[in-house]
Amino acid sequence: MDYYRVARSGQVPDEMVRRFFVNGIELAVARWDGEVHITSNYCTHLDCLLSSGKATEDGLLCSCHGSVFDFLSGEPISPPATEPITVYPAKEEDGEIWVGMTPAEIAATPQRRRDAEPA
Amino acid sequence: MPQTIVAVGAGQAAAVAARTLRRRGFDGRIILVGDEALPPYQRPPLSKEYLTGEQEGGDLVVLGENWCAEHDVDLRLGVAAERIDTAARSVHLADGTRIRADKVLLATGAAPRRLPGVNGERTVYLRNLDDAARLRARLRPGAKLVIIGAGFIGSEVASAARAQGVDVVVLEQGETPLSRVIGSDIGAVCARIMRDAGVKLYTGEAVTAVDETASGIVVRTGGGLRVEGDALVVAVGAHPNTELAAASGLAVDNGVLVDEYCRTDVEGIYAVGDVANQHHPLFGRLLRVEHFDNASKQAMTAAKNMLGKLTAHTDPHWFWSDQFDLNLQHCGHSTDWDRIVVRGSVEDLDFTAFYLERGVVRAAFAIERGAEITAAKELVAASASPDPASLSDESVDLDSLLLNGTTQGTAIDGREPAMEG
Repeated sequence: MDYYRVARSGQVPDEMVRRFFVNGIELAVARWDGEVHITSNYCTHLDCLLSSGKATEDGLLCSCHGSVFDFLSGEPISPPATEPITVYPAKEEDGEIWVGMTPAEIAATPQRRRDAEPA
Repeated sequence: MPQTIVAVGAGQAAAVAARTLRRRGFDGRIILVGDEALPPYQRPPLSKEYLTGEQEGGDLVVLGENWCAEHDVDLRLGVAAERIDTAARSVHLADGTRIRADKVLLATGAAPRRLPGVNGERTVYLRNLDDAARLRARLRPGAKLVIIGAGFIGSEVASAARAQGVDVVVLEQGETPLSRVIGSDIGAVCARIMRDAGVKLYTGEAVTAVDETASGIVVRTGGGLRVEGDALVVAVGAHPNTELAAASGLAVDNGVLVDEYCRTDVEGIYAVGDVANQHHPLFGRLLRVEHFDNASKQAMTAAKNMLGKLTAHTDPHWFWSDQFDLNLQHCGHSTDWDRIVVRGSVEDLDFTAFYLERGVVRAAFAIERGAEITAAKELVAASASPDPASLSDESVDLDSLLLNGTTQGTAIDGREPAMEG
């Protein structure tokens, strides 16, 4: 697995979630209590964009249907989602955010999303 | 610590309660009793993705048999519970079984309101997967579907049917769709969405007669309409399944009465979800809510309380509806708002409407603005009174209105909103 640069640290303030693309993979990058968490940007329920949601104390909240995903494990801790989201290793160095991805993850066709997420 | 917890009803609420109990370390027995033969499944897709074929029955399961085996949760399916012996603290099942229980969760849900004498082959009251499967089989291009009721279920079924090329007529007694929840001004927007999608919507039409023959159905209205169809969906609301609670001597009034901790009037017995009529501290009144998120939240609340962590359910209610390729969301509760403030564009179907009572944000409804509903929930929870001009000003961050512009968070009845204990 290699680490790839995602963004400047300042682009993801505390309690915010933002969308970035790395190697063609769409990511939700959130910060809570200072820690950066990186996951797939697609909700496993109906593929809404998690970057349109919110970072909360419990995890990443999808604003379409209210599912909440644990930052560390990606497990849905609040329905309607029942499947976990992909969590990528994240690190911050010298004011920059990095994400860890395997060649297999990069080679896999990016998941296509439906057009049902809010603007 | 209780030894055995029995849930009566095995739907969404019971499933969330079981998960919460195990996540919080409860290692006693958990038994879910359900009269349907299926393990707990989600119902929201039954009027949406399941009808369009985007999801199948198996996709809806929320508490699969594997999870239950791993977590030692006992599913007793296909058998109804009949009553609780509150003195002996046991649950009596229709097959004669009696289950001892230290705590009981009543999650018996609701049932569709029926029209007298309307129950033929071509008529569907949508509640269960079986009902949805029968309806789905009727949704063929060119088929004619009549829907009575333009509430959320009626509107979503109309959307799913139109998406499959079905000819749809909707008959609504009120002035607009959803007028009871969002008012007729905003309800008129939903009427426009329906009509633009090709639904023949008739409002202000009370149904006076339904006749079903071997070849079709005929519906007549007070306004003199005569509508023919191949199939009929009756979506005119639901009533709580309180028979078991009443037979067990629990206090019942439009649902099983519970306090903000989801406790009934009998110690150790809790009620949640569609069947529970809860005292809601934020709104200072009893509210019975028939929505997914409320069922989940109340179930989490009851589970925590069963384990001794006193927790009140004070969340403003929230729900979504996906219809006609739009995401609709609503939060809070208001029946006598005196002002509606709109943020965004009604014309472009991209807006949030805030419902204010004497300046206090009590509810909000949004089309394609889920993130704003998340913020609105916090405004409702805080009983905030932001400057209406700021609410409608798109350059103002809604979250900032929580900090500024709030007069204090007193509930309308003067009680302080209860906090998690």
